[in-house]
Amino acid sequence: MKTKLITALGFLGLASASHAQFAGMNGGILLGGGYLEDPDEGYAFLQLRGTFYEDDAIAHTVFLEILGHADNAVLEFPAAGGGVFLENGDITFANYTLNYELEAKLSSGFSFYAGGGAGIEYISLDDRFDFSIDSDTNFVAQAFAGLRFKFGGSVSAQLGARYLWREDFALLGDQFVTKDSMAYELSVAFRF
Amino acid sequence: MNKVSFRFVSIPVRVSVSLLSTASALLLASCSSSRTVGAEWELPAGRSVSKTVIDSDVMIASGSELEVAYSDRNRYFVAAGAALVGFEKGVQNTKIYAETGAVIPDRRRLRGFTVVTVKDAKKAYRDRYKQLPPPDMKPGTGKQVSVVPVVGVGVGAGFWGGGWSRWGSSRSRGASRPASVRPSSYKKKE
Repeated sequence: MKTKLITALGFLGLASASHAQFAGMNGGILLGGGYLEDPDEGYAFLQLRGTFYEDDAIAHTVFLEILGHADNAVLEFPAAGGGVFLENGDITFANYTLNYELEAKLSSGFSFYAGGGAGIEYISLDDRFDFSIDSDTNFVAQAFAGLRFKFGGSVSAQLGARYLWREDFALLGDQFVTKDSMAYELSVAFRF
Repeated sequence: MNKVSFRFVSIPVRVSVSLLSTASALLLASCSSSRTVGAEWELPAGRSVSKTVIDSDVMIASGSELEVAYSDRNRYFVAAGAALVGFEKGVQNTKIYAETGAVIPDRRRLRGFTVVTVKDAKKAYRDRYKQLPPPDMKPGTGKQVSVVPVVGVGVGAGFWGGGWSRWGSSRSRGASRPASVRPSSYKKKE
């Protein structure tokens, strides 16, 4: 799963870069991590960015984002005769979203950004051998804002927060509750 | 005269035989129907025991199997590779603290107990007075069910000492599929 994800990200990155050059957009990549209040888990994210308009005051950017977090789980296997056998597993949540961001440039390299996006959340249940057991796909949306600081022309760091709307998910026939949640994050971006 | 003396002898003999029979029956009954009441008990590794357990805390070490006939007001601590089975005569007010890799009864088929997954059953047993809540007091129905550890179907073979490396790093697609999942951070919708 992870290998496939990295490969897909690589292709997306190449496609994004070539497209950016072709269309005259400024491309970029952003890597970050954060803390999701509910369910009290850390997460990581990657953005493939394209700025389609920029002047001294504002910038308009669209980006594809993959945001993921994981949760431990206990799997109950049926044992002959009606018992169960307990085993460790894990659940991976991957949000694939398309987003728009408006950046308002302040002074001394600082800028304020805000935006929103929507997409799908892919939930995968794996056993302890990383063998996929079950999966679910749901709608997800988000709104975000933060402060960005530019180091020179191509590198920037940002501190932000986002609000995630997520749907309940189902695995192995059971429905599980997800709550909309705030998240806080730190990230680094590179422009090319 | 002879008849009278025979009566005087036969009555004490009958009483003695009766008492001996009763005592033997009681002794036999107590031996054949093993029962543990109000105990703090550790089942060592490699043992297989059948019992009725009441008002007890029981630690079941890896490689052991405890077959319980009837269970009431107990706390079981089941290590990975151990099995808690049986409950043919019912179960109620019982809590099972199980490591992953333990064989325990299926909650959907047998009521009267709750399951808590713990990382270290031995530690949970040692710390049971300061950390663990009392057994669930919800009354159970005591449905009859037998529980047998899984052998040779892709799950649970670690219980039989083969080691978790038996399957290498892959599980065949034909292997047993889990019946349910309990995420750590997400609650099941009721």
